[in-house]
Amino acid sequence: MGGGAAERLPGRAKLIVDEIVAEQPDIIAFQEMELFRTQSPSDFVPGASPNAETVAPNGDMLAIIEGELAARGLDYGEPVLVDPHTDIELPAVDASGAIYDLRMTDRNVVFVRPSISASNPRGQDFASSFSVPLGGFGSGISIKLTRGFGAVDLVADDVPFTLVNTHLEIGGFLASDQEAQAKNLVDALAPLAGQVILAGDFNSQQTALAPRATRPSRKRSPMPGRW
Amino acid sequence: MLATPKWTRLFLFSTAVCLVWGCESGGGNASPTAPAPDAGTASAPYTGPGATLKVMTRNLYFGAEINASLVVPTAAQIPPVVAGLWAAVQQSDFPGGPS
Repeated sequence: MGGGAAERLPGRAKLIVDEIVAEQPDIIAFQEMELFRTQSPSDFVPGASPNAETVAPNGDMLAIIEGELAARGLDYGEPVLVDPHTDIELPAVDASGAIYDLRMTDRNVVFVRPSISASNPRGQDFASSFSVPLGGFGSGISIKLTRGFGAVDLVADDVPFTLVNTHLEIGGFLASDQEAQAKNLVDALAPLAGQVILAGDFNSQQTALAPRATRPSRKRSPMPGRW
Repeated sequence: MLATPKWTRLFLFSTAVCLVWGCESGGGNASPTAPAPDAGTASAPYTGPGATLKVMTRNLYFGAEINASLVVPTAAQIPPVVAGLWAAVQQSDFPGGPS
């Protein structure tokens, strides 16, 4: 997991919307647009489905971005694709020592300008996922980190195409999962008719060592080392 | 989630999208590389056939190092570790101050 200095900038929602103002993209594909929810008191049971529903303060990154877009007068409307994948809940302790549940839902989200029509939003988890046991053997507690992709059919000036948004697993010790997900994605896209725009965070470097299926081919970012 | 987030990830798929128009807009004089008179500038939104469609993709980074923090040897240590993760998320201050 990275998270270099640039990624940790405070107020990055505003900085991202600054960039949207400057670049005026027609389509915006976000990854890692999380939703954090809480439940107090905790009813955590290992293996149970996440059920916390109270949105944590500043816990809805989609709402924050929508607020910034509206504050700048940018008209992207409602997102045309909200694609959740990992959804995990664990107990946490607050400053008073009380136990509550914290839930995190990972989402990939797509906005388009109103002049582009959208239909048939859908999402799919990758078959390959990463599970992390917590609390040692016998605790029965684990989290499953699921990734996937979402797709939405778009039409701009009577020209149809499909926008696909994805977030692949990291490389390194999870490189085999990453490559399996990339192959899963390629296989899933193969039957799609017509043109496809694939956007995403592929967690891949532009090097010959990167798995071919995950190697990006796109314009270099002005930030060194970033694609 | 468990990602190396990409702060700067503005990918311009204009060439690919222009190819969409070139292939499927019925021909005519449309060219994948020739922008319409009213389009093609860096800041102009899509304005019609032959124009460039601009796509931005961005990992927002949720604000914590989840895989490093979730190595917890006992169940009793889970609540403080999770609380620490949530504190890190909040301290990363995604929204920033008032606009």
